[in-house]
Amino acid sequence: MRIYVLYGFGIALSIAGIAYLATEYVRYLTEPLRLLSLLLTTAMFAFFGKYFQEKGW
Amino acid sequence: MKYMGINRKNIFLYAAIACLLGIIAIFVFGGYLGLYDTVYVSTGEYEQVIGPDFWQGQRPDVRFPYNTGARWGDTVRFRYEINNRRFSDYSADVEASLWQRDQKLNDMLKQRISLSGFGRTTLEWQLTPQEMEQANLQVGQYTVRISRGGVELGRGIILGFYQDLGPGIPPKPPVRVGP
Repeated sequence: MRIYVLYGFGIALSIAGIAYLATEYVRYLTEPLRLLSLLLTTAMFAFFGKYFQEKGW
Repeated sequence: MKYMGINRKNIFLYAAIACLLGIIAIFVFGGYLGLYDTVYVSTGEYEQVIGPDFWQGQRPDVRFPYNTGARWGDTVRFRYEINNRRFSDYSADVEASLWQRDQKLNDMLKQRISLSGFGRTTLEWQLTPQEMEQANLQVGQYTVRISRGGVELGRGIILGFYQDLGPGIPPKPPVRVGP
């Protein structure tokens, strides 16, 4: 059970790190590229969702 | 179910990975695009490079200067490189001037630049001892303000002049002759 707590910490820290890097990088993007990044992010999560749905999770 | 020899569920995984790679590519390419300013200050035997990271890393509400020094009487040379890493053309007025305590002392450069997409240009000017003498300057601190298109680079470059006091070795005492 305790190992899952560690997994939880790891996942949370990874997401926080990626979110921090993303905000740093987004500062240097133009508006059209920001919009494109947002669309790709949405599509990425949608495809991941569909993938896990197909796997039966 | 297979589509072109790939499992249907794997297609979604590959599409998600492609989106992730696309986002990373946008970050890299978008980070590369933009206008980049690099200022080189040369005096004596030293050349200092003030790169785009210094100018772009400043917040609009908290701007800070770059500090450098020069020996009084030495010529200070400036090189300002503008790199237009964009698809569109860029033209602007570039100005460089010498200030002390919010008073302009000397105009050093006033030039209009025109750059094509992904073009670059370098502007050069210098502050000679003769100019400093004509402007009645004395040993002290001055600010070199550089602006491109009406926007100033940070809070400029603080140029601190110092007097060369020599190596600091006291002269040899006179040789005593006799008892």
